[in-house]
Amino acid sequence: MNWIDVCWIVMAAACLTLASVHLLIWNHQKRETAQLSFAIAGFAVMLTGVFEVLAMHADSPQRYAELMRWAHLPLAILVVALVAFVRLHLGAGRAWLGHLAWGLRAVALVPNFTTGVNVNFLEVNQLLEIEAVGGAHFVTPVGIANPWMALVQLSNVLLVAFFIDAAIAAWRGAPSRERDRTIRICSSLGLFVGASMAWNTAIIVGGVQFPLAVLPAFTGVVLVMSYELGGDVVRAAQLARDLSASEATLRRSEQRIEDAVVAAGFGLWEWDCVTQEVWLSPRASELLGVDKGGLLDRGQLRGNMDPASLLALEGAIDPMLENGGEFLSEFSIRDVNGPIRWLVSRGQCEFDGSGKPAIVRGVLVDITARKEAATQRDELIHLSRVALFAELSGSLAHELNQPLMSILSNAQAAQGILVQDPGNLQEVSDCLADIVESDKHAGEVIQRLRMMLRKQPSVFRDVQLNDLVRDVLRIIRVDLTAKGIDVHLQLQPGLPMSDGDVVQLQQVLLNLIVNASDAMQGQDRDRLLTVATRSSQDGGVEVSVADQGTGIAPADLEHIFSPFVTTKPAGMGLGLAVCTTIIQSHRGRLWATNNHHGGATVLFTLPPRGTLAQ
Amino acid sequence: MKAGTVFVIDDEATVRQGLSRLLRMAGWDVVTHESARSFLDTSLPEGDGCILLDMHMPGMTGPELHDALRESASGLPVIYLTGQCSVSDGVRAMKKGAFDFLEKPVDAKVLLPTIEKALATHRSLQERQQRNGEFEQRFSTLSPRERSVLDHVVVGLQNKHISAEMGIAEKTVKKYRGRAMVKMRCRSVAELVRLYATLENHEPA
Repeated sequence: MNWIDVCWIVMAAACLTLASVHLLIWNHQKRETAQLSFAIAGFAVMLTGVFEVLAMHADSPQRYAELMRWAHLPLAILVVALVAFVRLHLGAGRAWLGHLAWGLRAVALVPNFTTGVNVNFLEVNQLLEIEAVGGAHFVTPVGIANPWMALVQLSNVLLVAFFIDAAIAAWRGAPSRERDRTIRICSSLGLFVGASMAWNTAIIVGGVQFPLAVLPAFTGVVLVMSYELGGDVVRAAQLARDLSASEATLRRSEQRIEDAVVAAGFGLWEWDCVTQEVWLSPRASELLGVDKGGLLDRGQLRGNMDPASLLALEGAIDPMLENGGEFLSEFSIRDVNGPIRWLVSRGQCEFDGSGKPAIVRGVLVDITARKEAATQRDELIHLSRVALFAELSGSLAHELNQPLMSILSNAQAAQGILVQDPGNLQEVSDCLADIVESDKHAGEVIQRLRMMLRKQPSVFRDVQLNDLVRDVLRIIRVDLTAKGIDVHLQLQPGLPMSDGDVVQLQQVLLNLIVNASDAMQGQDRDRLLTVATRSSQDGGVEVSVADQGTGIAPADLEHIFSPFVTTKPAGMGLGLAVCTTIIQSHRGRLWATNNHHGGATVLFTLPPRGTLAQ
Repeated sequence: MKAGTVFVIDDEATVRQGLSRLLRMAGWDVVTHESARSFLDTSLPEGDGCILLDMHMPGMTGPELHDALRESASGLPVIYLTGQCSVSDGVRAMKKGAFDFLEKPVDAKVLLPTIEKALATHRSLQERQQRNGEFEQRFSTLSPRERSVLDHVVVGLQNKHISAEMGIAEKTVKKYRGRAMVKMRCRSVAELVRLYATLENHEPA
């Protein structure tokens, strides 16, 4: 055994090993046909190598020819595998060129087995024994060339052309990792196959005295392919690691979301519009008062739910199914024997490719506490309004007694006229007209009072603060004159409109004016109260009520807005706290400052119109 | 036609109109004012009168007007009308010397007699003032001696005591006393005493 034998055996073994490894990989991932084609190529190169090393030690021309003939079989398979690798793994090369190359190679097998001794030789006359460097001996055939060898050479040329073409096409393509790989693999494949072809042609045709062999070149081919495929395996392993890491992250984040959902008391639900199945999280079924969670069809859900709340929910969902967007629905449900529960559900619809609703997902939140707080807030606001009106009862009595006075005196005047001068119907008619007018005025006063005292949830609409200030002053005018207070108005013309609950804002203003007039009670100085409106920088409105009283002690400036804090001997300390609540529900601000020249100013702001709707 | 002018001061036009019709129907002259200031700016007609005054008006309130009226000593009785009943307002008004304090809406059966009484009061006040005017006229014709003697007479001293008190002869006292009684046109000491009581600026010595 000489060094050439050793080299050949090592190369064949390397091919065998690599082919086996990639066959195993393919066995696990059957879809990886590139692995299979590589394994086949590897085995084919290995077999070719075995034939070659045997041929180098052939003892007769017949034996050499026979080994050479059989070596063409794995070579043909190799060509098929190489074309398949480039086409399947790299997706490169012209298909027709590849097919023609392996087709010709396959066709060449026919003359290989039927003409001459093989497709290379018609006959092998003798074997020349050659001594290479290092004292290695091998034989090389001398004979008459087979004309059918042109088929093999044509196939080889086509194969090289296929590779070079694929490399050039990739080189012209957009830069990417795939492009670089294709250029690298195809050009080296073309180079090795071309080199092998030139080598063997030189030996057969030109009589160059070297072993007739393809193994070294094709081992290079196998190494290049294995390097690329191995890179894929390494990358796949890296991806798998990354994937498992990101899966762990995903699981953690899912867990976090689930924790948050549980902590917030959210119920989750999902409705499959196609199968009509509804999935409810345990919390969702608890909130809806449905016996069981999990997957249930819509009919079951309808059976378990309060019909009114179902109607409310579906009434909000249905428009979304047609128009898209989000839905938001507040509804109440009543447990059997249980209290009313208020729920809000918000969700979104996913549409399939054809625009039909596919899945609606939503959350359910129990807002009973919020609703109750709102109701209590409205009650408190109402109660404090009633209390405020009790304080203003003098004013209100005056407002009503004025028209009543007019009605009574006109009526009694008319009675007198009818006795004294029955013909003076004109005068009686004037009396009656005044009675009607005063009666209407009294009706308006009562209407206004009823509106102020009515208990109702907040209703927001457009409010002109200047008008509101004038209305409030009409209500409280008599109280102010009784206290000897002069009112000065500084209303900015063209004040922007605001969003607000008229009654509640009147209540705030009344409170502030009553406070301001109380602050000036019993003082000898001028009792001037200034009510001013102006537009604020953000497009909202600012209203201020300034008095000339004793001012607010600096320590009290912060506290006076808290409940049950009062500076009045008979005060409950709820007025400003309720005002704060009202202004905050309007997204405004209420605060107080002391004036430079004595007295205090209490101000509130309202945001620009449209802010509340957001 | 009854004699007398009622001044209606109220900021509400319909109230002024209604009251003015009612009072005119009852036979009085009616003058309406929409504010206390407007009332003060006009001159008062001769004759009996009274004021129907709204308690709560913007600007000068009823009580403030009442103060101003007392300073000018016009003597017009003031009847308050108020739309908001409060005890403190009532007390305040009566302390200022209001003739009456009525709540709106006030019935004609209450209002008209009250006005009648107020006008009568004003009439008698004016008569008394007129009489007092005459008495003061007579009083001013007395010599200092005669005045001094009368001062002693009205406190009930007899002539001899007066003579001792003043350090003059009893005969002289008699002479001054007789002349003074003639000047004062009084026939009896009792009448003199009554007239003396109406004198505001004179304190017996």
